[in-house]
Amino acid sequence: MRPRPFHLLAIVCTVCVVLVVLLAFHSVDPETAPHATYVERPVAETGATNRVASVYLNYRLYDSLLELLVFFVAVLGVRFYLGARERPDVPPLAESEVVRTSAALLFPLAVLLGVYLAALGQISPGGGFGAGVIAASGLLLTSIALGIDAIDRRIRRNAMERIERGALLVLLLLMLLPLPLGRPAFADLLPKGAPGAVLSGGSIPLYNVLIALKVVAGAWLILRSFVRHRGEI
Amino acid sequence: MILAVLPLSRFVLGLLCRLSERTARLLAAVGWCISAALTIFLIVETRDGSTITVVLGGWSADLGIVLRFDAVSAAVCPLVLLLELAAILYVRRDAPRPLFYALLQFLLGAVFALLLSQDLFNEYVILELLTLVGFLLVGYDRRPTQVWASLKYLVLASIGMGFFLIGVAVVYRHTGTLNLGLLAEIVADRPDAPWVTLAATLLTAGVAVKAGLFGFSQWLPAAHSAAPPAVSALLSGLVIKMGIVVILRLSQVFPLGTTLQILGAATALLGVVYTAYARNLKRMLAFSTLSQIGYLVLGLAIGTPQALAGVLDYAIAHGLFKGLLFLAAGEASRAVGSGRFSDLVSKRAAIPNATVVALLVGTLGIVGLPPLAGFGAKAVLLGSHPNVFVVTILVLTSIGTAFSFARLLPLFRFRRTAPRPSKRIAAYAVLALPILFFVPLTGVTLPSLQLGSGLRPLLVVESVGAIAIGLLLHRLTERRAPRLPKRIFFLEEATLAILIGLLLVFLCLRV
Amino acid sequence: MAFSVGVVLFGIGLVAIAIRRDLVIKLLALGLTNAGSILCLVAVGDRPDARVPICAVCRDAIYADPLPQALVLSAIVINFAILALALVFVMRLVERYRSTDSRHIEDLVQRDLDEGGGP
Repeated sequence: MRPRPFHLLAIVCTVCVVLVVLLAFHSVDPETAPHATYVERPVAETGATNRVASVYLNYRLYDSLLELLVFFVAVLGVRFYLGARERPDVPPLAESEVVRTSAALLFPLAVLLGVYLAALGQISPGGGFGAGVIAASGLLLTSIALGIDAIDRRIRRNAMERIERGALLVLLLLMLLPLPLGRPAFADLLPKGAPGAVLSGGSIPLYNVLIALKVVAGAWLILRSFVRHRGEI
Repeated sequence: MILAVLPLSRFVLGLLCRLSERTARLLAAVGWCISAALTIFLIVETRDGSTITVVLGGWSADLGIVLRFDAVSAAVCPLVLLLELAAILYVRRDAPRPLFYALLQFLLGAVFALLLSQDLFNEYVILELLTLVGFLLVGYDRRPTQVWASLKYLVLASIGMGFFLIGVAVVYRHTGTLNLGLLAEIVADRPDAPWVTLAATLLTAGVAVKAGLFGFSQWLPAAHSAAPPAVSALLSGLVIKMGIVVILRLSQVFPLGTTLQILGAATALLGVVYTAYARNLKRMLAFSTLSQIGYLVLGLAIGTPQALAGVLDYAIAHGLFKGLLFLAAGEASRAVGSGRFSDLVSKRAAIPNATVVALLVGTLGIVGLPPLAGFGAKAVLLGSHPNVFVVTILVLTSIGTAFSFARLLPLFRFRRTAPRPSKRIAAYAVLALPILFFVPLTGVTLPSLQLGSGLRPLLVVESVGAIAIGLLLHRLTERRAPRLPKRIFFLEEATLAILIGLLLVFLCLRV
Repeated sequence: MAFSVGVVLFGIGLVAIAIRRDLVIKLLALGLTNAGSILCLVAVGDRPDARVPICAVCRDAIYADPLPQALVLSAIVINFAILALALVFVMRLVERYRSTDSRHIEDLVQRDLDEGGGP
């Protein structure tokens, strides 16, 4: 690939931008290092010892909602653009016994890990998003081993659609629920519980579970669309 | 308290939209009514210039996300409602699938959310949602030209938002907060710090990709012209204004004055040059959006409260007439079978009367004929006493716009044969009436926009004069049409343009 | 330090989008730019010798800032969604134009537009 003038110009400009950003960023140390506001809040405010969960599922719940909507719209888009030409039957590629056995072993582990992350997101790292992705990966692994038709017979596409939509609707309604009760929107109504306990963090475990359901359904629908469109796995 | 309902109601309805087309239309109507009721209530509550602020979750401003309904929200919300109504009425004939209505609901929810937002990262997420929904709507008919246009849009917008995200990181590192109000106070203390320049550069360059500034928004001509007509109307009339709203909020935090002047001037002039020589009607309208955005950015650069009112006026006015023009252009192109000017003029007998009238009203609005919408808004802008440079650019752009739209004149001649009537009259009326009665309507409903403040007899003369000069120039140069470089709108060149633009913005802010 | 790496990754991704003509490579590069910007955001929350911010009472030691991590969660999901859709559209284009070369596709699209003039 002969270096054309355009390429050189692009490289030069990018290098300039990178240098400008780095120099300006490192040129002055903040005189007052910004205090970590959220870490210093008392745990009783949200009930969750996992401060990251308290941020994105309590103080800044709105952003998480919007991001879930982005994901939902993406699922809609993928299904709309790929769904037009779904191949009705996709025979699985010949997989070895090793793959099938290990998939059978790993799938329940993946689901278990997903449940654990979703249920305990308020006291340990994890949360609904990771849980959903892990569970969806387990499904994909199984579909590699057993073939997508086997999975589709057991887990119907409509059921997944309903789970996804339902989880998101319940989330939205939960966020609007405090309004008729006189509290501000997005407020947390459930009791906070003892810090570090499994049932702590107010609504955070509930949100985590709903998010996990939505993510696993959405991610699976995307993966499934790709497999069906491509025609082999 | 009810501020949150405005966007959230749309999202709920969008989720419910899947069952059938009739249900989806009903939900769209319900959503419109809820938003209209809330908007009217909120505008009435803030008539005296106050704002309504809410922190979601009931936390304090430095912990939670702040929503605020202020003059900007009050000005743009009616535009949103009008455009949405026009779009829904327009697409009824095409019986789109429920997915279209669902995407529409999400789009509008995101627009309302952005109008209320006072948090930097919240704006990032909403802008990404707008990008995604816009991208899907542009490629809705799944034709390859649309698919490519929307892919370009997606890639460039993602790059822009990547810059924005790094800007957010820089801001947070040095201030510890993402709330726009708090940020304004912090930056006002030390406006010369290097991190302020860096953050302003990254954030502005990032949003500029979405806001329609020349050099950054090279995706715009392809995307807005390739999209289905109702989508183009929404994109040009509404979504692009959201980028301007974010730039507005940024300009309230960072000192962006001179930079915006240069960016605005370049956008206005270069945009109008491309508008003048586009050969396809929808493409011309898309380029025209670019140049009109330049107007808005120049107004932001002036910075006075009256200039801000002028910007909001013009944003509304442009939304109305550009929306109307795109809707009418869509129907005209469909009736004729092609969007090229030569075809439209030669086969103009096929274009319904209502469509021609709609095109006429839209054209009169955009060239600024008194006393329609465009003129009223420009009056407020010019009434804020901008400097000579800005006035010159505005005048030149007006002349250029008149010059470009003079090409539509042959369509407006009287026809003897009556083509079949248009079925979209209601959609046109929704937008055309506010254009025609802009000054009295907004003067009553939105007094904060100070309409009527810049009206001087001299201004009428100037406006009519600019239109006349434009028409004359068009007459004189009718045969010659130069070839303008098209490569700058390709994907790689557009990426390079963003990079160069970012460096230029940084230099402007430094100086 | 991590911030610098993030910016450099972002730059590499940008260069690749601008220079490489293959659409799939462009998407990979887009993913790289996203990774770079996300790394910048996470790096901003770093403190020397910071601990994981999971604590009932967080005053006795230095903890990492949880806000950038929370923001990054949203950013990752959004970027994933965008990449998935972009990939779908690239697949659509490849099916129609039988090529992943962006220049070639631009020319073909231009030709389609000029021929059709279409609405």
